[in-house]
Amino acid sequence: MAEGESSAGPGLRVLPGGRASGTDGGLLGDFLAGDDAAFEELWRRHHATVHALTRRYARTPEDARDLTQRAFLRAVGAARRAVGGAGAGFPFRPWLLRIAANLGKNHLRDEARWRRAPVQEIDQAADGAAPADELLLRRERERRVREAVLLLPRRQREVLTLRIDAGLSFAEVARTLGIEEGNARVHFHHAARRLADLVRATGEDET
Amino acid sequence: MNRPCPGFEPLLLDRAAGLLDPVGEARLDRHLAACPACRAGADAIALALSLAALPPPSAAERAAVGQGARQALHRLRADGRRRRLAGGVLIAVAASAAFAVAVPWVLLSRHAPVAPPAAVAGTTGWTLPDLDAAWAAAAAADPESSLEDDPEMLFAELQEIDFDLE
Repeated sequence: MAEGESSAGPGLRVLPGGRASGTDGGLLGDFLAGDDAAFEELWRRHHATVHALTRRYARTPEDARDLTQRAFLRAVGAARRAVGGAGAGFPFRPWLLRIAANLGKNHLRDEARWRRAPVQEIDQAADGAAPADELLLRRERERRVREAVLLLPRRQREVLTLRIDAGLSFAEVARTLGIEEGNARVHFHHAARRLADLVRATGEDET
Repeated sequence: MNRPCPGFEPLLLDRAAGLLDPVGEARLDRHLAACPACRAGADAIALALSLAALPPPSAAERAAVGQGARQALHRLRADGRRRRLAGGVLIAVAASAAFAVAVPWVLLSRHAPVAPPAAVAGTTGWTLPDLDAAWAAAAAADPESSLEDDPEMLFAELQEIDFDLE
């Protein structure tokens, strides 16, 4: 460990000047000035949330990791010009999460034809098999509902995934998407109602 | 399919979102005790959200993602090098083109007082290129330069990744 550093837990370095307590915008500025450790701190703070968001749109764990990295690269690259006078107050986290959601949507579009393949395989297996047990039924319902999530109108999908995948509060969801908090709540209502309708309809089909 | 009562469905959805206050919770509970349709609605909403939720990532997946900072930095550097290389090639090509045009012009201009024969003049219909414009065009085509200096290019890049599936 270099002189002047201290350990604040596994994998976390506390650098001189209170790096771990610095603002995201300050860290971003430090990174753009050439400090790689600032990027690592931004990564430590936000990678889990970004990854939780990108998993929704990824077919494989590798895809999700790649999307997570690409979201960070896009965010710091684009922020280079956007930081402007905001400096340490630059809202890096909403910026990053918005970019992650957009990348996820792009990935979804590009991979749409691939997503159909496993769905068809499951359908064929289910059709040719004996009546499903509880686990198989649950998995089939999960598949249908998760497909429905991806087919929700854009804003509903964004709000729902930021809430249930990334675990954001409605205030943070609203900040991330640049909408009113009440508006975010309404979009969540619409999304949940659609999915509940699907569950009810599916249940009636199965009975 | 019996739908929940219109006046109580927003409360069901607020409860599912974790937004219902204690007063609303008590009011909803009293109603649910007497309304099978709303109870079924509450169950459907809860089931739908639980089905929609993804399973948590495995410990191995979390560890792999957590260690990605270095790899991301490597990708960032590699991407920057690629862009600089592409920009350098473009500038070199533009410089070569400008040189190839400028040298003959300089050589020809030394004989400017002597008017070319009419037949030759008719076949040398080129004009001096605007070198400033050529250099500007080369710089604009340099992706690194455009991203560094041009806010419009940044905005265009962001717009490019902000598409709507609908």
